[in-house]
Amino acid sequence: MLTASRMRTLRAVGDTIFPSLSDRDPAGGDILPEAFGEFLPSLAADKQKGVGLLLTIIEIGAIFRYARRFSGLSPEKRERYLEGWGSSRLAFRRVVYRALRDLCATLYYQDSRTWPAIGYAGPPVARERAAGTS
Amino acid sequence: MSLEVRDGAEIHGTEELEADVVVVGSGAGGAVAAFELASAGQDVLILEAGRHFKPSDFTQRELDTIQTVYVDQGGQGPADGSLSILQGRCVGGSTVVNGEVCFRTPEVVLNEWATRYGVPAFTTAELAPVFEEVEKRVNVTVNENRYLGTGTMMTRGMKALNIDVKPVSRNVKGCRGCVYCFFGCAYGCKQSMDQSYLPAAVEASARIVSQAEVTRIKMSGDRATGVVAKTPHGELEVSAKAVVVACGAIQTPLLLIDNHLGGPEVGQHLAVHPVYFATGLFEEAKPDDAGAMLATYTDVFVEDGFMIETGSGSLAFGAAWVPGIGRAHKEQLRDLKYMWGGGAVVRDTGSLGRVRRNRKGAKVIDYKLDPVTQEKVRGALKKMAEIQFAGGAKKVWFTTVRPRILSGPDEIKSLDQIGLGPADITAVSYHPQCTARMGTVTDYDGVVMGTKNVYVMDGSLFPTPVGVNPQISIMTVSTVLSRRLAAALA
Repeated sequence: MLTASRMRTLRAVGDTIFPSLSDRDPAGGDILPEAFGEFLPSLAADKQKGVGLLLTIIEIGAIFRYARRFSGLSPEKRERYLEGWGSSRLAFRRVVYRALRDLCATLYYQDSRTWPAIGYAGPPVARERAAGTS
Repeated sequence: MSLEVRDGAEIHGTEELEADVVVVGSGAGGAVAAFELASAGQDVLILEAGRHFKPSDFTQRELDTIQTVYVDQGGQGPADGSLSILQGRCVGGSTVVNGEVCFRTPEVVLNEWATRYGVPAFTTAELAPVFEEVEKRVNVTVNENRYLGTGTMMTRGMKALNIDVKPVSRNVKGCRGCVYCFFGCAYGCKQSMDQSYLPAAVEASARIVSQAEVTRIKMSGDRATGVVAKTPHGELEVSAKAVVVACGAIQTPLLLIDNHLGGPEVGQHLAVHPVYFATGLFEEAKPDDAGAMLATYTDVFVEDGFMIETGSGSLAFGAAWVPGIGRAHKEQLRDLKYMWGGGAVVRDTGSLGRVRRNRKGAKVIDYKLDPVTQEKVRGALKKMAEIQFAGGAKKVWFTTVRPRILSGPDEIKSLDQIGLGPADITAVSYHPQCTARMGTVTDYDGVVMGTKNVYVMDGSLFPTPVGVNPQISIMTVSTVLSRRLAAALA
């Protein structure tokens, strides 16, 4: 499980990658803590540690650029900072960015609360089973 | 078809079992070997490390399957995250979570095996009747028109460029045309091993135990006497006259390495057929019921080292692949229904990968594109962009780490400048192969060198990657080798 401080980073990362653009479009920070809480226990112990480490690297890394932790930055600075990792000349930074972004994206869009905003009606088999047609 | 499987979780303490042949793994290699051997009158026991899932267990919520069926929850691959090697750990193996695409082994590959690697008896003429039998048993059928809608735009682009494009053939029966094949068929239409070969093997009196992970091959000199398998609450000790290892090209070499079998080449030469997706943004929206997950393909670029296949996943799955972060990402997503895609399957010859144990005993997968393969990938990206634009795309992008969106065909040449290293672009793979090659790790009957009766019968055996979706190749090679084994045991 993630520590309270890593949860804080995760909420900030979530709000930065997936800001809410409307009432029916939830922000990443409202989805990811719970989604990570469900997904992480299914991972092997070393991979769980790796995910925690990614969050710490992002949180602490901001100090070198802004003299503040990531979760203490303004939304604009957070976005610029994260994008900077994705377009960095350093392969290590791009690897960290990809790992965190892809994991967050997979888990965010698997949460049914994000589906109305993207126009996804959800799995058809769930409706078919409910209606007894499958 | 219903399938009788004994759950290894019911075993407490040490249970002893006997069989003529113990088959380790129940995917395309193991299921077919088990069926052939059982049909020839051998007493066969199949041990599968994963659980048994029925169609009603599949929810079409992708994450449910990623968490329960996929090896390492979909995260199997090199530590840098450049490649996810997706394998099903369940009764039926990866055939349960593949896209059902069926190709025979290309003749040029069989010739390469014969001339460069000395593999006898795998000629097109000799294999043709076996391919036919296998295809019949898993019901290989050419995609009807109603399944092709998911590939409409790229198909249109290929036609505009006079590229020969054809419907893919798939092993399905009464396919509903949903787009969730990678996450288990909720309708039981996919003719994966659990719906085809395994019920037939059980009918021929083979037994299957799930959640039984073989850790040890018991040897007496150069002869295997059986295996030991871990179950959730106990273990199985199996005595057998022959051991067939068919765990797929990642676990098979690891099992051999753990048992000091197969020599120094075990685990080397890993090929994976990395797949690179291309997404195009179009004027036309994709209907929800457009067709099957995989629709059409072209093989005209085989000599350039890649094949292109078209199709689609669900909107939730597609959304995760839309690049960027923040407001820009979210605004791009408003066009999600206007995004159409396809992928290139790259034939990665050149021994680019390796499966091994580190000093702590953990699984490690090394894999890195060499310059030759990078150019194949670049060629594939450029060709897919050309096809998308010819089909009417306004924008095209790939799975690059730095978001890079092409706004027109004149920007395709900018792809000559992009890096294709492990931190530049992301690939997925469903096709690990070549880690226990015939001719070095095993002989041409699949017998592991230095042993009398440990066999490999899966994609690990291939001397070079087949270049096409490999399930039919694996089933066919397994048919030939298991028939030879049955004859030898008779």
